[in-house]
Amino acid sequence: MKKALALTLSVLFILSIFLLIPTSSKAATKADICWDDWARCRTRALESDLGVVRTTLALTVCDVALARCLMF
Amino acid sequence: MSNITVAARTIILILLASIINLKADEPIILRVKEINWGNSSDNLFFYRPSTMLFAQEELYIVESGENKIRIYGSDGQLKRSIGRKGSGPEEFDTPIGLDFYEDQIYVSDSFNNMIKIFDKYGKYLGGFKTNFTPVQVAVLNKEKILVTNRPSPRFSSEKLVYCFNSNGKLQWKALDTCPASDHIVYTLLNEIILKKDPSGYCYLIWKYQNNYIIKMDGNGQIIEKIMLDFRYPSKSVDLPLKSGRQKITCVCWSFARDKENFYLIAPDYDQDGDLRPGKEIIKLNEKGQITAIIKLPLALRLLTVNGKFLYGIDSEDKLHAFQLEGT
Repeated sequence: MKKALALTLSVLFILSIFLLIPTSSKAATKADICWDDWARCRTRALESDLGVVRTTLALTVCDVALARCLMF
Repeated sequence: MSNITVAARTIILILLASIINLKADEPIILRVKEINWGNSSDNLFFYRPSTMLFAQEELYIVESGENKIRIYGSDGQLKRSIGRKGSGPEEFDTPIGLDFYEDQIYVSDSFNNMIKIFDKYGKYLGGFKTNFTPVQVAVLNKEKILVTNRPSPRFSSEKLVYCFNSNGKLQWKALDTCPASDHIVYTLLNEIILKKDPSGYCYLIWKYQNNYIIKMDGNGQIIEKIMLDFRYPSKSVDLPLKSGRQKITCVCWSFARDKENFYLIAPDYDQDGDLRPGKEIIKLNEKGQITAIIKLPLALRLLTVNGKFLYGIDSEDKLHAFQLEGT
């Protein structure tokens, strides 16, 4: 019984590794997209003719969008 | 008694001399006349223009939103365009900076992370990758290509200026970033504008907070810190941050360098109390002293100067050409 349990746990452990590897690489790709979008958002805000206060608000929006993108 | 009279006379003379001196140093007010550009009744419009430069009797405009470089003759006629959206040799992904050196055009292709080099007719000659998003470019010579960085709060130890040779090999990097506790303040404080002049020096000005211009040589050495005239009209505003309000001083919106003069677009308040480009261009000499104030009929956010001609982009992204009056 103990052996069967140990074997099952080992299989689950190995499977979880195989399942997690693609997930983490997907997450990394998604994070890269989030950061790229953030950089574009920031560039657009800074290169625009918005006033200083409006640029600050636009940069805040970029940060909020980044946080949402990384979380979901 | 006579000693007192002598002292009084001396003081009066000193005061008179200083008044005369102040009078002599007072900047002159220059006005402009808009000139018809390209024989069109409407001003040319550009989609998110980011840089303009007058070189060899041609006006170069980087149209970031269209991923194109537009080149106009001095008669205002469009001569040619370079680029389209993409990542290939003659393609751009948000080009921002541009410089011209010995019949070659250097473009910072920001989101392809590349500096691309073209001949003056638009033929792609080569380029190199940068490991950051390049913003502005100034070419001192073919082996000294200066590129500015917009540092990310994500990474530490970034610099503001990087120098590459024509093969893209990093030569040096200079200027530490200004630290700030807030991400957004950090971003604003590290906004710099880069220009060069034919003598082989480059000039850097911070858009916010620092009231000086850095003169740098081709080896990244700071030659001079040119303090702006005490009369220079910097303006402050409170930033609405998550952590509360924080005051920031806006020094300059954009600047141009022409014939040993600096032309700075000074900020001004709009009707909402926000700071935007003002309707005055402040002309400063090599020592940072104000020599003239150029009054414009409208605010410009981008500028290039060629002798008595000023070319600028207004807040609606329309092009204007002006001639200085009385020159």
